[in-house]
Amino acid sequence: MTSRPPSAAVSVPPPAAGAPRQAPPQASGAAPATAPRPDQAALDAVHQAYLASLAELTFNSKPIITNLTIIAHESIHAAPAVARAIEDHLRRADARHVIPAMYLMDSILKNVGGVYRSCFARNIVAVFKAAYAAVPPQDKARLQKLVGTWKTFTTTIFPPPTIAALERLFPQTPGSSSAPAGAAPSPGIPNPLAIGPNGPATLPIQQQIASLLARKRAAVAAHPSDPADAQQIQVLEQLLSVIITTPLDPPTINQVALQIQNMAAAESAAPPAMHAPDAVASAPMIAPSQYGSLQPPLPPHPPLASAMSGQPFGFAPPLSAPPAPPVPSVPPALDPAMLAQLVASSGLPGVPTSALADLARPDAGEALPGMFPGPGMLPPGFQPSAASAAAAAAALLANPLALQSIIEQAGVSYPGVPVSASAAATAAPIVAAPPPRLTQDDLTRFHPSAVFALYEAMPLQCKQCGLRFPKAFDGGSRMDAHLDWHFRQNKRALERGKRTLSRDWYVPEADWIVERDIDVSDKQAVSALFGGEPEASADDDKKGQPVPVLPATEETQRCSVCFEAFEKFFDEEEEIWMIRGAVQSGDQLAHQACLDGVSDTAMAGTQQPAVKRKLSDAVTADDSLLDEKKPRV
Amino acid sequence: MQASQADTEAEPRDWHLEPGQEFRFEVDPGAKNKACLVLKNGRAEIFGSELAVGVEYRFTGRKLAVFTWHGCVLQISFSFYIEYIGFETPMQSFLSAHMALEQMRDHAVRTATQGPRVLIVGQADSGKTSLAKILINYAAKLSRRPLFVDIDPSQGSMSLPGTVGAMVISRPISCEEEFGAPLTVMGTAPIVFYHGHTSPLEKPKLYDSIIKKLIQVVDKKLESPDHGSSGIIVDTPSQFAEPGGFEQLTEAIKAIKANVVFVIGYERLYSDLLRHFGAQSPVSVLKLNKSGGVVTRDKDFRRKLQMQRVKEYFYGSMRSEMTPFSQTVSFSDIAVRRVGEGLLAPSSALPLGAERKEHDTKFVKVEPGDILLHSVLAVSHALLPGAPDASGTPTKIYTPDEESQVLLESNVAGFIYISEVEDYKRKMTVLSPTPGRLPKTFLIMGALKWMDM
Repeated sequence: MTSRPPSAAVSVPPPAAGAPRQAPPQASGAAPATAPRPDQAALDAVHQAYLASLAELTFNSKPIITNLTIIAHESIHAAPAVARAIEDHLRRADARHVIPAMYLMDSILKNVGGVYRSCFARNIVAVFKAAYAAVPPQDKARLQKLVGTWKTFTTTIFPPPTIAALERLFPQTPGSSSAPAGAAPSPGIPNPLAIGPNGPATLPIQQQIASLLARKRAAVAAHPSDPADAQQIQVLEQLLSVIITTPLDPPTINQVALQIQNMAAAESAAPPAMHAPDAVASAPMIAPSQYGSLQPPLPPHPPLASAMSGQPFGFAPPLSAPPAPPVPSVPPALDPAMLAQLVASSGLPGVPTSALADLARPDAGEALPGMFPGPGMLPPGFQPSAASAAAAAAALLANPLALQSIIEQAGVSYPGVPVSASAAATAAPIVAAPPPRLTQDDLTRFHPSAVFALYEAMPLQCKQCGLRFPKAFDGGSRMDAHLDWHFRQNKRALERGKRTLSRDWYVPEADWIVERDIDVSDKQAVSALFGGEPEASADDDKKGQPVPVLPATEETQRCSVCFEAFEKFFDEEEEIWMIRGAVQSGDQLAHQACLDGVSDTAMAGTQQPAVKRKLSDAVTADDSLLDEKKPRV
Repeated sequence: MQASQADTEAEPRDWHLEPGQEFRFEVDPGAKNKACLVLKNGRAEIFGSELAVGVEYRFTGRKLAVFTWHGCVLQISFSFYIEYIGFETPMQSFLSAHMALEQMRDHAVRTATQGPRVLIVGQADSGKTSLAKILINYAAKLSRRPLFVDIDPSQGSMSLPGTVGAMVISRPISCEEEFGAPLTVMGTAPIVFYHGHTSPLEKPKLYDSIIKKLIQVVDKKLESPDHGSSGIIVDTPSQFAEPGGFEQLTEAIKAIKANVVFVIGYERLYSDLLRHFGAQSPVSVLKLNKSGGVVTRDKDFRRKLQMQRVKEYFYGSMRSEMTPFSQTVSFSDIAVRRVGEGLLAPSSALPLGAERKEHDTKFVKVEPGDILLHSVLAVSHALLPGAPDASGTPTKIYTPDEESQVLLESNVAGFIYISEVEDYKRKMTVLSPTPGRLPKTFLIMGALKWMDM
């Protein structure tokens, strides 16, 4: 209940580059690769929590958008859920709220990027189309501008065909140069082929990159929590956009072609090899756990971190562990300096020159992982650039003594605490002793393994309340769910000024027996028990109800009451076009709201306050009411 | 030794604890300034619930101990009325007890049977509730979902004094909160029955019936494998360990079907129980030492604590404040009952040879009026005659016997406080924890009085 901004899933302090005890980016970058994946329930929880947070985004507010972006970043392990929440929000939002939501999406795409880009790419055309149709004219221009910024952003936000598809939504599309005309806009499977300034010679390379990308995207879809693939996608996309948009000299093109070929070969020849870096990288993952404090399920994303803290892109000094031995470059691998050159020569705006300088330095092997965390991000073909991080990890692996000393150092001694022999004893797991039984003798004996089971065996610790979770099994996802719970609690604490909290009546016996945890529902669910709920206003009830939808037909459908066209949208689950807010009334369609109005006036006309009926009763359908109106139709 | 001493602000100062030591302190109920404690580094726990490093913890009306297995540094920014480091703690045996229970829970999971049914018994201020909390918190820490059953009406830890109840504990109880914390903090709601008195020795028949009913409900809950394997932990009233309480204790052990009994710091009771159950009994009786830190809470402290409980029921705790609602209720809309005597003729006035009929479990009508002023009434789940039930059918009119039976078997929905009675207008003002009209159910009057100040 502190005053820090609410966080959906992870509550780590902003990563301070170079902080002495900060886990090195390489190490933590790979950690989630082996961390347990959030299960569906956890994803749903994130989805719900994020959707709830989106409710406050009712006007274009930078602080709110920044805050939501941070939450999105912290919830990157559940990126699909967050993306879905935003899409759902856009679908349901009032026309006035569309722009802020689109700006939020933009902020996430640009500041967080990574896996979010592929998550949003899936539906962006449909979502954008609906948003574009919904907003008033002055806002349409804003949306157009938005797409413009996506097109010209330093890194590829959406593949060019997707951008082109988006641009086709606008009236008088300014000639799209990046995609061949006639290419079917299919947001799910982007078609990156384009004849750029390098001529058709680069088409095979593009194809190869495209197939690699497709494979990576599939991998990301399967393992959304794995940042390595997402990072690779970013690199590949960057490369692709460079090839498409920037004139390159033939030797460079050849070199790139060679790299890509190697990478593709490695990918297809030995798919398990892909995970080799992950396996290596999982070693330093042990290191963060030593600190006995909350470890993020995902590493801080340096680009975002430094962007937010206003620091230039840089490289946090790695491990305090043994220095990485120099690893000779293995030709013909892609030289990071070359990539830097490529990017630099492309003249893409926005990339700080300091980062480029870093990339071009002789020790760029270190700089690159600094920019894209995680040794696992680069496939074997890129080995040298990832080498230093991997080597450090390998060194740790190869030297169990060093590991041991780190564990001891971090796990046992606390500054200012008198270290005694028994402390060391409790810290070391003693499994040999038999578990105590319920005998008077066993109760008097000390079982150090019990202390271990309550503390060290559960290295993930919530910083807010001290609760611990194991790393293994579903500990990670339970920790996430727990943090979500804190998030809701803290949010409620912030809202306390607006909304009062009261103790509910205890539930009746029969309900108690079947009751489960009531973590999810914060509202006064139980007071409905006795029917008396004056606090809940009618408006709230309405909002809670799902907006009625019906499948759309070919011709434009209009409301039989107000003659306005219905709002159409594409239902992703059903995969058909639907109309929103419509209810069937007899053989006519009408807006739910219009029907409410009709019944209201009808009621007023009858002058019979004694037979006051609930609105909902009237809507469910007095056909006769509608029939009265029919002559007007 | 004045409460005001506890309120004085002091320079923040550090206490260094070695592994196995505990820092004990007391905060008076209602102290204006809340005691503040921060774990600076190391690891520490309060009744088995781990403290987070660098977080401020605030307490009021508590006698607490911060224990460390690893060594720690605590920063205290208020001078407590009592504060010192304890060197002798029974924590090792408590932890061993926990481990032994874990073995039983593991076994229960493997064999799909029920986990340990633990009963903790001891004299007043022997640390029963502390042990219960430690065992519960350790179990919850290991993702168990034990049921905590409190049959001590003197504290009514989940609700108000005068109640007994049970609740699932799905996560360690926050160091600052007690079992009575709101739903949003605990995640689970208790089931509460109202005895109306703070001692089981008052109206013992009523008490026994309520315990039987409570255990019945608990057993139904335990049919779910989640809770079944984690078992139950029962805190008992101190009267069980007092002379004359032995029979009630063995009755309770039988009713609860306890298979583990921990006796805290009372050799004689331990040997009495061993003798009673015999060596072949499925009930394991074990003794545990009393913590050196437990303090005798005088009557005044207990009374203040009870008043604090009532206040927290309506207004919440420091960390989770709540808003009760005041409303006017007409006498004609309510039906108040109370257990027992009603208007009794003295024994001397009874016909010769006639014995007084046991009125322990009989509920009698209370005419609303000034007698209710400042009472805390339990809101029963027993519907008034004519009130529609869940399926919409009106509740039938009870005979007096049926009414008593229904009231006895119904758990309570909560409590209201009568802040004002206007006899001539036949109206009264009540404080209700939740907004909305009062449910159409019976109100039960006990001995609980309170002043909302």
